[in-house]
Parts: sequence; structure tokens; C-alpha cells
Amino acid sequence: MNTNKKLGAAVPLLLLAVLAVGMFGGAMALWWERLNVNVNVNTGTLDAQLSVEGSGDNEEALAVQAGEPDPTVKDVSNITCTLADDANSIDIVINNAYPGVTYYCNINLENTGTIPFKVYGTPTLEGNITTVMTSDSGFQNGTIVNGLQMHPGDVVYDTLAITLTNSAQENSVYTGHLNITVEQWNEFPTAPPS
Amino acid sequence: MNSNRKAVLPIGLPLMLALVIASIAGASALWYKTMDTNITVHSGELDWEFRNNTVFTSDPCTDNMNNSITWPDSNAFPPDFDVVIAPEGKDVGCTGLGLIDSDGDGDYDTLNVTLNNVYPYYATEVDFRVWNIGTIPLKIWRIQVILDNGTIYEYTEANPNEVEHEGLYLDLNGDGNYDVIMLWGDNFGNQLETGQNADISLHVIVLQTAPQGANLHFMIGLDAVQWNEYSSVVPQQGP
Repeated sequence: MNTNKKLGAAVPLLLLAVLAVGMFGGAMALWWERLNVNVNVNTGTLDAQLSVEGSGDNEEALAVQAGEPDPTVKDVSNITCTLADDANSIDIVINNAYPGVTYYCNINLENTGTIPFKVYGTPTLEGNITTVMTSDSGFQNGTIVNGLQMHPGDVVYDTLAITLTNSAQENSVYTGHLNITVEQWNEFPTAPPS
Repeated sequence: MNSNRKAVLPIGLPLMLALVIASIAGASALWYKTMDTNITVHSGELDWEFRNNTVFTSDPCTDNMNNSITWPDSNAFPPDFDVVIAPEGKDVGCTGLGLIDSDGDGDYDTLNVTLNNVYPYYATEVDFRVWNIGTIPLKIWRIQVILDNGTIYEYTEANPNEVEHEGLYLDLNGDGNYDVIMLWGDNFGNQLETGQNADISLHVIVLQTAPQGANLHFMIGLDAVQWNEYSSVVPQQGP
């Protein structure tokens, strides 16, 4: 009984003490005032896309030069240039190719991002096809070259041409690839990470 | 009859005595007068604000008439992050500023800074002036850099180095990579009397690991405290 009575008296006292401390603490808070600076960073995008403007070869032209009455009969080989779904690469396949004929693919490069970019390095063909192609194969117009700057919406056009030399073997498969690297204009010519 | 007379006497005596004592007491009361002191406390106000036409950026999106303008970007490259005009004076990104009265009390308490279409090493500087519009002096106490995930970085006069000189690297989207560097030209501890102002600057530099096409956000809470209790919230530096 005594213990209960003591507890009964202590609880309200404690509550009062807590309330008093709370009020005291509130009263003691120093005055201060906050200003806010909200910083929103909306980053842009660096993006490029390829597209195929056209493709072909010069078989018929060669036939005309050679005096062929019906140059169409000389059109025995062909090239296809297929843009990938992501527009980041083009598959080029030349069928029934043979030396002396020039096969070409007209390629567009477009800045589809929101910031300017520059082409890093002059794109060159690599792979074993380079061992059997003439020295004048590659981009023909000299537009897609190291340092080319393109602003959002800009489009440049170039022709990728491949001509086999006589060292090409029959019934063989030659492959090659060509990379075009673009990077933000303000950091050119820093090498992009490998 | 006798009994009644005897009964009357004892009642009458105490009454007489009481009247006598009362009259004597009244006659001997000390002189006094109550003086009242009424206390009325009109407390002051601690308040400060941003103001129009005292907020500037190195790369504005619009002019004073809110028309879009061409203004060359600034860049800041490592390792020293010195701010330079972007190569070729190109204008790609810009920094928008807006003042807001968030609590409707008639003064601007929030500055919105929006970096638009920015890219690695884009750098912007925002200069603004804060005004003491209260009635008591204040001291610029601290900033709290608050990320959306709840992380808070706090700086005062006691620890300004990182945010003032070295740069505070911030991962704003929680991907483990730093997105921006922030620097603060502080004025920590500066005292503003009523009506006085101070200039403060903010630098933001975008880093290579910032995601493309992203909306990133952080907030800076800028706190002022009553001048006479500043030392209780900021440990004073020894000599």
C-alpha cells in the first residue's frame, strides 16, 4: 500500500517536471531563420545516330566503260547496308564480290543529343578486309574526320567505299569494322575511356 | 431572572473587547501605498531575405525582361577547376534563377537555381545578396546541404574549408558516383545589422559521372541566428 501511494504521487510529479522542462526548453530556443537555395541540375545528352542514305557499286559503270552492250548483265555482285535498330551501327555485306569493283555505302551521321560533340579520331576500317582492299578505300568525302564538330541537329554525309585488290581470295569471307567515336566538344581531344 | 442577567454579561464582554481591539488595530495600521509596474514586451523579429535584382549568375538563360539570351557557357576543368569561358564561347547550357516567397509572408525566402542542358565540366556561379529585414542584428550561422536521400552536410565558420576551397562532391542520385561539385563563398559569422546585406556566392560544377538526361536536385538551407547567441551555436576558434 505504501509503495503504491508513493508511486501514485510520483507519477504526476514526473509529468509536471517533464512538462516544465519542455516549456522551459521551448522558451530557451534561440531565434533563427532559414533561407533556402534549391539547386536543380538538368543534364543534357550526348547522342549520335547513323543512317543509310543509299548504297551501290560501279559494276554497270565499268561494264559501260568496257563497251558492254548490256551492262546490266555484269551486275552480279551487290552490297547491302542495314541500319541496326538502335541506329548506332550499320551492317554492310557485300555478296559475290570480286576485285576491281567499288562498293559503297552512303552514311549519315547526326547529332541527336542536346550538346555539341566532336568526332574523336578519324574513322578507319579495321579487320582482315584491310588486307585485300585498295588504299583509296574508306571514307571518300573527308567529312567525318577527327575534330569534326557537330551541333544538335547537324547531319553530315560521307561515302564509305571498298574496292578489293587482286589479292583477295575466291570464296572467302573478309570482315571489317569501322568505329566512329564522338565526345563532348569541350573536352576534345581528351581520349574517351576505353 | 437572575439566571438571565448572568447569561447576558458573558456575551457582552467579548463583543466589547473585540470592538476595542478592532478600533485600536485600525488606528495603528502602518501607512502604505501600492505602486504598480506594468510590463509589456514587444519582441523584435529575426528575418532576412533574398531580393530581386540582387541575384545573378555567370550564365543566365534570360535577360531582365525574361527574353532568352545567348551567353557563353563557363567551364571548369580538373585538376584545379579554374572557371574559364567555354571553348569557342559556346552557349549550350544556362542557369535559371527564381525567387519564391514560400510562406507568403511578403519576402523571398527561397532561391531556385536551375541548371539547364548542362554537361561535364559545365560550371556556373550564382551570386546573391541577403538582407536583414528583421529588427535585430543577425549573424550568418551555417549552411546545411540537404540531399534528396536525407543526407545532410553542415558547414559553419568552424569548418568551412571543404565547401569553401576544396569543393563538396555530391552524389545526387545515389548511384555511387559524384555528380557535381559545390563551392560556397560563405560570409559565415558575418553580422548584419537591420537593413544591412551581405554577398554570398555558389558555384556548381558538373562532373563526368553525372548521368545524361537526368534531373538532379539538392537544397541548401542558409541559417542566420540572433547575433548575441552566435557563440553558443558556433564554437569560437582559438588564437
